[in-house]
Amino acid sequence: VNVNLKAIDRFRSTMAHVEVKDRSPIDRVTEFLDSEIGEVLADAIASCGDVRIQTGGPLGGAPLLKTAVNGAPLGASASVAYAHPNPTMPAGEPPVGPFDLLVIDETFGDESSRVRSAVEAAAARSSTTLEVLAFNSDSREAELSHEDLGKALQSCSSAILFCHVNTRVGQAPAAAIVTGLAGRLRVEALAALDLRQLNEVAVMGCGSGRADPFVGDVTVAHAVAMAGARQVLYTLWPITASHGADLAVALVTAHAGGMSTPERLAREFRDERDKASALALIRP
Amino acid sequence: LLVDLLSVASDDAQKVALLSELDELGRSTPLGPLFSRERVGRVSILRDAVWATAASVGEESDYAGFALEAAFACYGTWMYGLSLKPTDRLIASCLTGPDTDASDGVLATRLTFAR
Repeated sequence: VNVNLKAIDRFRSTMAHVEVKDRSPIDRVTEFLDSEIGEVLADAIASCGDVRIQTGGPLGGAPLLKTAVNGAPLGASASVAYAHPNPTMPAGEPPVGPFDLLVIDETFGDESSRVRSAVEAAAARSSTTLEVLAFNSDSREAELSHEDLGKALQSCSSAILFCHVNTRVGQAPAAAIVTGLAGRLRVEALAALDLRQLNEVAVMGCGSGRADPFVGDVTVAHAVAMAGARQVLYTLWPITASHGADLAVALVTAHAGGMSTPERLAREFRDERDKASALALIRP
Repeated sequence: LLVDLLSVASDDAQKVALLSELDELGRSTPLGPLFSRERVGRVSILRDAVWATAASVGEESDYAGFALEAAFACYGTWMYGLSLKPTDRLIASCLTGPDTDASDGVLATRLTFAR
């Protein structure tokens, strides 16, 4: 299928003439995709079973998740997900239930407290044993040991991480979970863990799944997935602590109510299309 | 050498063969631990040759599906040490250009459907 070339040219030309202060690139890309690509995707989805979309460039699938297909954003379907990088991962029902590991950086103050309270309350209500690894990445005395983090991740069934994540464009292998002033648990070490018992992990940190524009999917989220985690929720861009906390609390509440992460994420895209643009999910 | 050959290959069968050869090279070479600097450094040598080659195979070509499968397999081998396979149907989107079919020389986005 060849897309209307004149429309693409019109889009590029429009973008080039917009004042920088008025540019909202993703919204404009989405407007274009709504009108030009939505119908193509609707046809493909109607006539096929599984459809895999291979996108190029650093933005990856983010604008596509917001594209209106049959009147709703593509991401509003709970059956849309970023393909798991490990093809040997068995498919299955998305896990539901309280998290049994919380890794929390207390450097975010009230936002960290809000997340911790929600996770602890959900675990208490369902009598789940919760392990909490609290640390402060701004304090030399309260850094998180990589050994403790590795052990905890390898012994839990679902985890939520609320912390800083480092990603550097052009230095993909330096992507890491920030564990202290100088502490970084890098993707190579994460990928070497055995996380096959981990059904779900939500990595609430800046750009935890942001692909490198030069080499592709070398990210904290992909490293965790390759280590064996079945389902990974990640962010595509930097997010604010309050936005991350909002989503973390919403996710915990949804799980407590029997709603899975794909269902909660789909609702986010359906009801809060603008806020949901930075989120995505890896699953088999 | 293979990456350079991919950039100049004009025959669809040749492109698929080169992608398969690159995949084989990745399988038979110790590329380093997953996500290590060593491995990512090697992956970066591929630049966008894998996807650009798959997207350059004509969508009406008998080799279109094979090229996409070979591209996924090759990328999977180099990046993850595992052979990736597309699902039954796949939409590949790639910026190409300047597009040779467009008289005004604008960049074109092409979507390819393949089994």
